Amino acid sequence: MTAVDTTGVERAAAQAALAVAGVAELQPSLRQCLADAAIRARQALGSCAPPPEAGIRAEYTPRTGAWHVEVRCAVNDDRRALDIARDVHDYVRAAVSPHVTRNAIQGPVTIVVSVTRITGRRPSLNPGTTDL
Amino acid sequence: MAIDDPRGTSPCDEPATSRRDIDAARLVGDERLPCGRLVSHVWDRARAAGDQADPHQADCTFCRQALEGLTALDNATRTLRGERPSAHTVAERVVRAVRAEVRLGRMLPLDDPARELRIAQTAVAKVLRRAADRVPGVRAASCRLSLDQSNTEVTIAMTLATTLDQPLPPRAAEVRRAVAYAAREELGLAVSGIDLKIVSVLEPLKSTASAEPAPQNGRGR
Repeated sequence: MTAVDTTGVERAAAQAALAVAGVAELQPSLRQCLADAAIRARQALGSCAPPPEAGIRAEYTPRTGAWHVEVRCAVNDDRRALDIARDVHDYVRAAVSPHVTRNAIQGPVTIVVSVTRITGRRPSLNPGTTDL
Repeated sequence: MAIDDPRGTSPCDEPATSRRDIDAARLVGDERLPCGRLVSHVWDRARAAGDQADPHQADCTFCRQALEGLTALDNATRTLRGERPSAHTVAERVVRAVRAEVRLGRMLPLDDPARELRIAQTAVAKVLRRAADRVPGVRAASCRLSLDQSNTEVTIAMTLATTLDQPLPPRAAEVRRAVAYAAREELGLAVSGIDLKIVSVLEPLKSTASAEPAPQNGRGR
Protein backbone atom coordinates (compact mmCIF):
# COMPACT_ATOMS: atom_id res chain seq x y z
CA MET A 1 0.00 0.00 0.00
CA THR A 2 1.27 3.42 -0.87
CA ALA A 3 2.04 5.73 2.03
CA VAL A 4 -0.62 8.32 2.75
CA ASP A 5 0.60 11.62 1.37
CA THR A 6 -1.23 14.08 3.61
CA THR A 7 1.34 16.81 2.99
CA GLY A 8 0.98 16.39 -0.76
CA VAL A 9 -2.80 16.61 -0.47
CA GLU A 10 -2.58 19.76 1.62
CA ARG A 11 -0.10 21.36 -0.73
CA ALA A 12 -2.20 20.56 -3.81
CA ALA A 13 -5.34 21.82 -2.09
CA ALA A 14 -3.64 25.06 -1.08
CA GLN A 15 -2.38 25.74 -4.59
CA ALA A 16 -5.81 25.03 -6.06
CA ALA A 17 -7.64 27.23 -3.56
CA LEU A 18 -5.28 30.15 -4.08
CA ALA A 19 -5.82 29.90 -7.83
CA VAL A 20 -9.52 30.74 -7.46
CA ALA A 21 -10.45 34.31 -8.36
CA GLY A 22 -11.48 36.16 -5.23
CA VAL A 23 -9.47 34.14 -2.71
CA ALA A 24 -7.34 36.65 -0.81
CA GLU A 25 -5.46 34.17 1.35
CA LEU A 26 -5.79 30.95 3.27
CA GLN A 27 -6.32 31.32 6.99
CA PRO A 28 -4.33 29.06 9.30
CA SER A 29 -6.28 26.70 11.49
CA LEU A 30 -6.28 26.95 15.27
CA ARG A 31 -3.95 23.96 15.37
CA GLN A 32 -1.44 25.82 13.22
CA CYS A 33 -1.81 29.01 15.23
CA LEU A 34 -1.19 27.17 18.48
CA ALA A 35 1.88 25.51 17.03
CA ASP A 36 3.14 28.93 15.96
CA ALA A 37 2.55 30.25 19.45
CA ALA A 38 5.21 27.92 20.77
CA ILE A 39 7.66 28.06 17.89
CA ARG A 40 8.52 31.06 15.79
CA ALA A 41 10.82 29.33 13.35
CA ARG A 42 9.32 31.12 10.39
CA GLN A 43 10.44 34.48 11.73
CA ALA A 44 13.95 33.13 11.99
CA LEU A 45 13.73 32.01 8.39
CA GLY A 46 12.89 35.56 7.37
CA SER A 47 9.18 35.04 6.73
CA CYS A 48 6.35 35.88 9.10
CA ALA A 49 3.64 34.65 6.77
CA PRO A 50 2.47 31.10 7.36
CA PRO A 51 2.74 28.71 4.44
CA PRO A 52 -0.45 28.37 2.37
CA GLU A 53 -0.85 24.77 3.53
CA ALA A 54 -1.52 26.12 7.03
CA GLY A 55 -5.01 26.98 5.80
CA ILE A 56 -5.69 23.36 4.81
CA ARG A 57 -6.43 20.43 7.06
CA ALA A 58 -6.41 17.03 5.41
CA GLU A 59 -7.25 13.87 7.32
CA TYR A 60 -7.25 10.30 6.12
CA THR A 61 -9.15 7.48 7.76
CA PRO A 62 -7.26 4.26 7.03
CA ARG A 63 -10.14 1.93 7.91
CA THR A 64 -12.53 3.43 5.36
CA GLY A 65 -10.08 5.12 3.02
CA ALA A 66 -12.02 8.36 3.45
CA TRP A 67 -10.41 11.76 3.10
CA HIS A 68 -11.64 14.90 4.81
CA VAL A 69 -10.15 18.14 3.48
CA GLU A 70 -11.02 21.47 5.06
CA VAL A 71 -10.09 24.77 3.44
CA ARG A 72 -10.22 28.02 5.39
CA CYS A 73 -10.00 31.10 3.24
CA ALA A 74 -10.37 34.85 3.36
CA VAL A 75 -12.07 36.18 0.24
CA ASN A 76 -12.37 39.50 -1.56
CA ASP A 77 -15.73 41.19 -1.81
CA ASP A 78 -15.56 41.69 -5.57
CA ARG A 79 -17.28 38.31 -6.03
CA ARG A 80 -20.11 36.70 -4.13
CA ALA A 81 -18.74 34.63 -1.26
CA LEU A 82 -20.88 31.66 -2.29
CA ASP A 83 -19.48 31.64 -5.82
CA ILE A 84 -15.90 31.83 -4.59
CA ALA A 85 -16.52 29.02 -2.09
CA ARG A 86 -18.07 26.86 -4.81
CA ASP A 87 -15.05 27.37 -7.05
CA VAL A 88 -12.66 26.62 -4.21
CA HIS A 89 -14.58 23.43 -3.46
CA ASP A 90 -14.47 22.23 -7.06
CA TYR A 91 -10.88 23.28 -7.72
CA VAL A 92 -9.66 21.57 -4.56
CA ARG A 93 -11.58 18.41 -5.30
CA ALA A 94 -10.03 18.23 -8.74
CA ALA A 95 -6.54 18.98 -7.41
CA VAL A 96 -6.52 16.39 -4.63
CA SER A 97 -8.07 13.58 -6.68
CA PRO A 98 -4.77 12.30 -8.10
CA HIS A 99 -3.30 12.19 -4.58
CA VAL A 100 -6.16 10.48 -2.79
CA THR A 101 -6.62 7.78 -5.42
CA ARG A 102 -3.09 6.49 -4.85
CA ASN A 103 -4.13 4.64 -1.73
CA ALA A 104 -5.18 1.02 -1.81
CA ILE A 105 -8.48 1.70 -0.09
CA GLN A 106 -10.36 4.46 -1.83
CA GLY A 107 -13.13 5.96 0.21
CA PRO A 108 -15.21 9.09 -0.08
CA VAL A 109 -13.55 12.49 -0.29
CA THR A 110 -15.23 15.30 1.65
CA ILE A 111 -14.26 18.87 0.91
CA VAL A 112 -15.39 21.57 3.35
CA VAL A 113 -14.81 25.22 2.50
CA SER A 114 -15.02 27.80 5.27
CA VAL A 115 -14.97 31.51 4.48
CA THR A 116 -13.48 33.14 7.55
CA ARG A 117 -13.18 36.75 6.41
CA ILE A 118 -14.26 39.08 3.63
CA THR A 119 -11.74 41.73 2.70
CA GLY A 120 -11.88 44.85 0.59
CA ARG A 121 -14.77 47.18 0.02
CA ARG A 122 -17.10 47.49 -2.89
CA PRO A 123 -17.43 51.05 -4.18
CA SER A 124 -21.21 50.94 -4.10
CA LEU A 125 -24.06 48.54 -4.43
CA ASN A 126 -27.55 49.29 -5.52
CA PRO A 127 -30.00 47.35 -3.37
CA GLY A 128 -32.42 45.43 -5.49
CA THR A 129 -36.15 45.77 -5.43
CA THR A 130 -36.85 42.18 -4.44
CA ASP A 131 -38.09 41.86 -0.90
CA LEU A 132 -38.06 38.79 1.28
CA MET B 1 24.08 36.76 6.04
CA ALA B 2 25.40 35.21 9.22
CA ILE B 3 28.46 33.48 7.80
CA ASP B 4 30.93 35.94 9.31
CA ASP B 5 29.09 36.26 12.59
CA PRO B 6 31.61 35.59 15.39
CA ARG B 7 28.85 34.01 17.48
CA GLY B 8 28.43 31.40 14.81
CA THR B 9 30.00 28.03 14.41
CA SER B 10 33.66 27.26 14.62
CA PRO B 11 36.10 28.12 11.83
CA CYS B 12 36.63 25.78 8.94
CA ASP B 13 40.01 24.48 10.02
CA GLU B 14 38.59 23.09 13.22
CA PRO B 15 37.63 19.43 12.89
CA ALA B 16 33.89 18.97 12.64
CA THR B 17 33.87 16.36 15.39
CA SER B 18 35.18 18.84 17.97
CA ARG B 19 32.50 21.46 17.47
CA ARG B 20 30.25 22.05 20.43
CA ASP B 21 27.89 24.60 18.88
CA ILE B 22 24.87 23.54 16.93
CA ASP B 23 25.90 23.98 13.33
CA ALA B 24 23.35 23.86 10.56
CA ALA B 25 25.79 22.02 8.29
CA ARG B 26 26.28 19.23 10.84
CA LEU B 27 22.74 18.06 10.17
CA VAL B 28 23.47 17.32 6.54
CA GLY B 29 27.25 17.57 6.43
CA ASP B 30 27.93 14.07 5.13
CA GLU B 31 25.66 14.48 2.17
CA ARG B 32 27.47 14.76 -1.14
CA LEU B 33 26.20 17.25 -3.69
CA PRO B 34 25.83 16.29 -7.38
CA CYS B 35 28.98 18.32 -8.08
CA GLY B 36 30.95 15.98 -5.82
CA ARG B 37 31.51 18.24 -2.82
CA LEU B 38 30.37 17.46 0.69
CA VAL B 39 27.80 19.85 2.09
CA SER B 40 29.95 20.41 5.17
CA HIS B 41 32.90 21.28 2.92
CA VAL B 42 30.85 23.88 1.03
CA TRP B 43 29.74 25.44 4.29
CA ASP B 44 33.24 25.50 5.76
CA ARG B 45 34.74 26.97 2.59
CA ALA B 46 32.11 29.70 2.49
CA ARG B 47 32.70 30.57 6.13
CA ALA B 48 36.45 30.58 5.71
CA ALA B 49 36.60 32.49 2.45
CA GLY B 50 34.76 35.61 3.60
CA ASP B 51 34.83 38.05 0.72
CA GLN B 52 37.19 35.88 -1.33
CA ALA B 53 34.93 33.86 -3.55
CA ASP B 54 35.68 30.22 -4.23
CA PRO B 55 35.85 29.87 -8.05
CA HIS B 56 34.02 26.54 -7.99
CA GLN B 57 31.27 27.69 -5.64
CA ALA B 58 30.79 30.90 -7.53
CA ASP B 59 29.86 28.96 -10.66
CA CYS B 60 28.24 25.86 -9.12
CA THR B 61 24.46 25.91 -8.82
CA PHE B 62 24.44 23.00 -6.38
CA CYS B 63 26.88 24.66 -4.03
CA ARG B 64 25.06 27.98 -4.18
CA GLN B 65 21.71 26.38 -3.42
CA ALA B 66 23.15 24.37 -0.56
CA LEU B 67 24.79 27.48 0.84
CA GLU B 68 21.59 29.50 0.67
CA GLY B 69 19.65 26.77 2.43
CA LEU B 70 22.26 26.35 5.14
CA THR B 71 22.43 30.09 5.73
CA ALA B 72 18.67 30.21 6.29
CA LEU B 73 18.85 27.19 8.58
CA ASP B 74 21.75 28.72 10.48
CA ASN B 75 19.82 31.96 11.00
CA ALA B 76 16.79 30.00 12.19
CA THR B 77 18.70 27.94 14.73
CA ARG B 78 20.44 31.01 16.13
CA THR B 79 17.18 32.90 16.47
CA LEU B 80 15.43 30.01 18.17
CA ARG B 81 18.41 29.52 20.46
CA GLY B 82 18.41 33.19 21.39
CA GLU B 83 14.68 33.72 21.71
CA ARG B 84 13.86 31.24 24.50
CA PRO B 85 10.30 32.48 25.00
CA SER B 86 9.09 32.45 28.59
CA ALA B 87 6.08 30.44 29.65
CA HIS B 88 4.18 33.71 30.01
CA THR B 89 4.99 34.73 26.45
CA VAL B 90 3.91 31.37 25.09
CA ALA B 91 0.70 31.53 27.14
CA GLU B 92 -0.06 34.98 25.74
CA ARG B 93 0.43 33.73 22.21
CA VAL B 94 -1.85 30.77 22.86
CA VAL B 95 -4.57 32.99 24.32
CA ARG B 96 -4.28 35.36 21.35
CA ALA B 97 -4.63 32.47 18.91
CA VAL B 98 -7.67 31.07 20.72
CA ARG B 99 -9.32 34.49 20.94
CA ALA B 100 -8.86 35.02 17.21
CA GLU B 101 -10.56 31.69 16.59
CA VAL B 102 -13.43 32.47 18.96
CA ARG B 103 -13.96 35.85 17.30
CA LEU B 104 -14.92 34.07 14.07
CA GLY B 105 -18.12 32.93 15.76
CA ARG B 106 -20.06 29.92 14.59
CA MET B 107 -19.97 28.80 10.99
CA LEU B 108 -23.15 29.37 8.97
CA PRO B 109 -24.07 27.43 5.82
CA LEU B 110 -23.88 29.11 2.45
CA ASP B 111 -26.80 28.41 0.14
CA ASP B 112 -25.58 25.33 -1.69
CA PRO B 113 -27.08 22.05 -0.50
CA ALA B 114 -24.83 20.03 -2.83
CA ARG B 115 -21.57 21.21 -1.29
CA GLU B 116 -20.37 21.80 2.26
CA LEU B 117 -19.70 25.53 2.19
CA ARG B 118 -19.66 27.68 5.30
CA ILE B 119 -19.01 31.25 6.31
CA ALA B 120 -18.02 32.76 9.64
CA GLN B 121 -20.75 34.56 11.55
CA THR B 122 -18.59 37.64 12.06
CA ALA B 123 -17.95 37.96 8.32
CA VAL B 124 -21.69 37.77 7.62
CA ALA B 125 -22.61 40.28 10.33
CA LYS B 126 -20.06 42.77 9.03
CA VAL B 127 -21.51 42.69 5.51
CA LEU B 128 -25.11 42.93 6.72
CA ARG B 129 -24.40 45.80 9.10
CA ARG B 130 -22.68 47.66 6.30
CA ALA B 131 -25.74 47.12 4.11
CA ALA B 132 -28.00 48.63 6.77
CA ASP B 133 -25.61 51.53 7.27
CA ARG B 134 -25.92 52.40 3.58
CA VAL B 135 -29.53 53.43 4.11
CA PRO B 136 -29.54 57.18 4.87
CA GLY B 137 -30.36 57.98 8.46
CA VAL B 138 -29.76 54.44 9.71
CA ARG B 139 -26.99 52.87 11.74
CA ALA B 140 -26.90 49.18 12.64
CA ALA B 141 -26.45 48.71 16.38
CA SER B 142 -26.27 44.91 16.48
CA CYS B 143 -26.69 41.93 14.20
CA ARG B 144 -27.50 38.46 15.48
CA LEU B 145 -27.74 35.41 13.28
CA SER B 146 -29.43 32.13 14.10
CA LEU B 147 -29.91 28.93 12.16
CA ASP B 148 -33.31 27.45 11.57
CA GLN B 149 -34.09 23.89 12.58
CA SER B 150 -33.05 22.45 9.23
CA ASN B 151 -29.61 24.11 9.59
CA THR B 152 -29.86 25.48 6.06
CA GLU B 153 -31.40 28.93 6.49
CA VAL B 154 -30.46 31.87 8.65
CA THR B 155 -32.64 34.33 10.54
CA ILE B 156 -31.22 37.83 10.82
CA ALA B 157 -32.07 39.95 13.86
CA MET B 158 -30.80 43.51 13.78
CA THR B 159 -31.19 46.46 16.09
CA LEU B 160 -31.00 49.90 14.53
CA ALA B 161 -30.57 53.54 15.38
CA THR B 162 -32.44 55.87 13.02
CA THR B 163 -33.29 59.51 12.55
CA LEU B 164 -36.94 60.50 12.96
CA ASP B 165 -37.14 62.79 9.94
CA GLN B 166 -39.05 60.12 7.99
CA PRO B 167 -41.77 57.62 8.94
CA LEU B 168 -40.23 54.51 10.37
CA PRO B 169 -42.13 51.77 8.44
CA PRO B 170 -40.84 52.72 4.97
CA ARG B 171 -37.38 53.25 6.35
CA ALA B 172 -37.42 49.82 7.98
CA ALA B 173 -38.61 48.33 4.69
CA GLU B 174 -35.67 49.98 2.95
CA VAL B 175 -33.27 48.48 5.48
CA ARG B 176 -34.91 45.09 5.03
CA ARG B 177 -34.42 45.29 1.25
CA ALA B 178 -30.78 46.35 1.61
CA VAL B 179 -30.00 43.57 4.07
CA ALA B 180 -31.80 40.94 1.99
CA TYR B 181 -29.96 42.07 -1.11
CA ALA B 182 -26.57 41.90 0.63
CA ALA B 183 -27.32 38.45 2.06
CA ARG B 184 -28.30 37.13 -1.33
CA GLU B 185 -26.00 38.99 -3.74
CA GLU B 186 -22.87 39.65 -1.69
CA LEU B 187 -22.83 36.52 0.44
CA GLY B 188 -25.08 33.84 -1.02
CA LEU B 189 -26.91 33.13 2.20
CA ALA B 190 -30.36 31.53 2.43
CA VAL B 191 -32.36 33.81 4.72
CA SER B 192 -35.57 32.68 6.38
CA GLY B 193 -36.41 36.05 7.93
CA ILE B 194 -35.19 39.48 8.90
CA ASP B 195 -36.27 40.94 12.23
CA LEU B 196 -35.57 44.62 12.73
CA LYS B 197 -35.86 46.56 15.97
CA ILE B 198 -35.28 50.29 16.25
CA VAL B 199 -33.69 50.86 19.62
CA SER B 200 -32.34 54.41 19.52
CA VAL B 201 -32.69 57.72 17.76
CA LEU B 202 -30.10 59.55 15.70
CA GLU B 203 -29.87 63.30 15.31
CA PRO B 204 -31.12 64.24 11.83
CA LEU B 205 -28.52 65.17 9.27
CA LYS B 206 -27.76 68.86 8.88
CA SER B 207 -26.76 70.22 5.53
CA THR B 208 -23.62 71.90 6.86
CA ALA B 209 -22.73 69.25 9.39
CA SER B 210 -20.84 66.05 9.04
CA ALA B 211 -22.50 63.27 7.10
CA GLU B 212 -22.40 61.02 10.14
CA PRO B 213 -25.52 61.28 12.29
CA ALA B 214 -24.84 61.40 16.01
CA PRO B 215 -26.74 59.02 18.29
CA GLN B 216 -28.63 60.38 21.28
CA ASN B 217 -28.21 58.52 24.50
CA GLY B 218 -31.12 57.37 26.63
CA ARG B 219 -33.84 57.74 24.03
CA GLY B 220 -34.28 54.15 23.02
CA ARG B 221 -37.61 52.77 21.98
